[in-house]
Amino acid sequence: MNALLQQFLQESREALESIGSTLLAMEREPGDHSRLGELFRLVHTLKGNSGLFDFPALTAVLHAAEDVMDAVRNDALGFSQPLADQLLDAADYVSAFLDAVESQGTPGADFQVPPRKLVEGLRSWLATPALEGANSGVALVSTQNSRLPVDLPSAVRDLLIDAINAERTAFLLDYQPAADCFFQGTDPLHQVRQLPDVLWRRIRPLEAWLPAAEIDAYACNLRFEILLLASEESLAEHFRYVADQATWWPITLASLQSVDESVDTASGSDLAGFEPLALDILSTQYQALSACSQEPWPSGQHVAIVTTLERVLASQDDVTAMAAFQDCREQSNRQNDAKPLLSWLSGAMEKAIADDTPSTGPVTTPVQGELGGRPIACQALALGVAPDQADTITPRRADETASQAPAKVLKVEQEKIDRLMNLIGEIVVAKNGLPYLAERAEEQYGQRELAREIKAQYAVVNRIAEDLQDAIMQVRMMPVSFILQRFPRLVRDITRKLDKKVNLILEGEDTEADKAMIEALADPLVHIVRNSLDHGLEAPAERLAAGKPETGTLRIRASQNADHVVISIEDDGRGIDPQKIKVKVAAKGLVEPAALEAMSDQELVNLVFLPGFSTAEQVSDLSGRGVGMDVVRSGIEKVGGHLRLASQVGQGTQLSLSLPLSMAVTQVMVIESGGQRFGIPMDQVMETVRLPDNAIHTIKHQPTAQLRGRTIPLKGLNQLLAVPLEQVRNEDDEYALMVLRSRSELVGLLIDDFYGSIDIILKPMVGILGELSGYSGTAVMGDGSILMILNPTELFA
Amino acid sequence: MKRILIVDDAATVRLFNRQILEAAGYRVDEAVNGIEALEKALQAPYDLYLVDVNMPMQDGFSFLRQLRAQAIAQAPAVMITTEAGEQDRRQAWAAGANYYLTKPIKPDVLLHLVRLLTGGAA
Repeated sequence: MNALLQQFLQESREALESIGSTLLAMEREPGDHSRLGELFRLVHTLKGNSGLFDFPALTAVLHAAEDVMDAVRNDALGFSQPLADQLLDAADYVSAFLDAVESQGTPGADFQVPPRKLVEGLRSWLATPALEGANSGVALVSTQNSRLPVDLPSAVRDLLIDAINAERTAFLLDYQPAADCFFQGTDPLHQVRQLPDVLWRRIRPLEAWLPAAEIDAYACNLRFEILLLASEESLAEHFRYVADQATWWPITLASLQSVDESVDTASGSDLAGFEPLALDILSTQYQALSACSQEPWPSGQHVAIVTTLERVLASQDDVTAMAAFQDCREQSNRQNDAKPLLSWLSGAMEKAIADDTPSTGPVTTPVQGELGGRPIACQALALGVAPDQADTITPRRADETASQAPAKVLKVEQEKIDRLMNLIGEIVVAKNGLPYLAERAEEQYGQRELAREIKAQYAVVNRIAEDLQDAIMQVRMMPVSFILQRFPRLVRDITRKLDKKVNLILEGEDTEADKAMIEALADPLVHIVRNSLDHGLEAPAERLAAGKPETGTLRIRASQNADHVVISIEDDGRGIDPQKIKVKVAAKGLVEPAALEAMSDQELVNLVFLPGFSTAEQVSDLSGRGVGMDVVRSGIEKVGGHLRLASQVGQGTQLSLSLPLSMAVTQVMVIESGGQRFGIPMDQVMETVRLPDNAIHTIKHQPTAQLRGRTIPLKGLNQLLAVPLEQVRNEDDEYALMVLRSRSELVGLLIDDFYGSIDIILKPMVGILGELSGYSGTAVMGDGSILMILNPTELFA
Repeated sequence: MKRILIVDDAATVRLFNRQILEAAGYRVDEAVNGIEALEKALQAPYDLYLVDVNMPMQDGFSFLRQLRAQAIAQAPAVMITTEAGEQDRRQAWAAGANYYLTKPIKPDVLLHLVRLLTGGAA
């Protein structure tokens, strides 16, 4: 994926997030309009960016959203909840679009055509207010502008003068149908044909035509200019559905004369042969100079205009024009006045219009009498602004005053950080080789002194490596808010669908954890919250009947506990009824009836984690998506986390997820069994004991031992791994026993011997070995050997 | 080498324009808002400014007004925006712009314009 597209995706996602949270914030405080400007800017930037790529569907949606936000920003449209819904729908569409682009590099078949319903839905907000606001809104009528085409046929001009003298109002209409107008049910030609009393009209392409093979026949590329006798109200009425595409200006006798004058003053140089763009720049300078002609000569803008003119003229190699320009500039300098330059510009431009013949001429339709096609490169000049309007411009943003620049943040691709982390992982492993080296120096080569020095050096390297590890962890740490911020929206949408009332409380959003952890947490958390809303929280009526407040509470709290981040999700809903679970499990035959009878309430509640279990009477479209709590649990356990469920009938359910802060470094205990070494994750090890042979009792074919008043089932590792060897006992005839916590139960694992605990970088196994669920991965030891890390939970299953 | 300052809050747009201009041999600097742009221009004036209208903190109009009020070498400025209404143009001229380009920007148009406004090749 190229850098530009990547940048686009990243920036767009950030904007989407801000848009989402801003919209929700505005829903909470509907009266607060301070966010409107920011919201508009975000949508505006998104749209602008999308235009750099060939994403017509995306641009169409964003364009519509931008227009809506513009109307809201300008108070032409009120902000309401349905409007927010529509904008959120648009945000969802954009998000899905970005996903498609990210995964496939292109939008794919689903996103080729603009989503009509969405675009029309957004545009529907604009239709009515635009009609009401025709006088103040988009279709602005400027009474002072003279915008007459200079190439107006004299017959038409005469007709115009007669009509104005007869007290009729004449307008110059500029109608530029939107490119996607055909999809919006607009027929531009019909619109134009229905106009009454047309004196003159001209149809031109909005942008130069592409080669025939590349023309998009479904995109309108036309611009209609029409001179007609009509009233302002009738025009507003006529274009009420496309008010943003039509603009009109009244024509006065004065404006007709000003065109005459500008033609008359044509003199001096001849700019024929100039590139069209160069001519356009020159005519633009005329407008710019007009706008600032009142400023004392030479102002910064005057200098900039002169520089611009000088450069453009130089690029066109026209010695005569350059000389004439230099003369006028001298004159302006002498008189300290922009006028000489202004009149040179106006004259030169007029001449150029008359001489230049365009290659792609406009299409004109004779309406009354003869009409001639004329070049348009310099129409801006003819439609130019009178100098006296320069002072009517007012600043449009209130926050123009300088404020603090934001803190500098460096954006780095995750890939680079991952690479850095892997390298640091390698150095951590490599440094572990030093103690082995020291040992060998002492025992094999008898170099005690050297061994000590190596150990001292090891201490230094070790400290640096630990600092390095710590530093890279800090980089990878991100706040839990990264995933929690999506919940207000999710909860709002779900409760609305379910007709429930819920107050969502988020706490500890700034708790930090490794990015990979945070990401692993996202899906299970969404599922848990859905479950809670769907099955846990009651409908308002049911709550009132149970004597609870109508609005339920869902609390998601994140906190840090030693090297774990704990997320708890609590609701005050109906809770989980152990008896109901028992009935359901029995009916489904998931557990033997006898075992079921022996279970405590807590054990019964935990049965919701059984594969194939679902408490809902019927599968709803919210939580019942074929994913049970068993998948949630295994998702959490896959990244080394634990899940705990507690529930009181009628009072609510609490689920807490505990995840290691980082999964980069794992502490394991090294053990030996069957002549091989293995690692066992330290966080599952409860204790290690030596167990005499006679302390083992067999209950129902299951060897067990009494430890601190608890009966613990025992399993031999050799047996679990199908190694045909007895577990080795030490000289006192004792077994090495490791008590492990597997899910919420304690299990004793018989092994041959214990060693110390070490920090390792856990690498998951790949390929065919990856299917061995009894192992969570491998690690390279300091001496270069490979340590297999066991996954006791899976082994015991 | 001709120096050009791109003033735009949208990183994607900055990158897009930068790629086009640098490929043509121009030296490109970036600023994310008017305040940063003015700081850079005061350090060493540029040959051309490409200025986005809608930016947080200080918009393009405001930046241009302040730029034009400085006693430094004044270079052409192109206003870049999605709106192309008459009102916007007038505001741009009054603020001190020399040309008005509407998004989406086409690379060939941009290069042609830049070539003319900087007085020839890069």
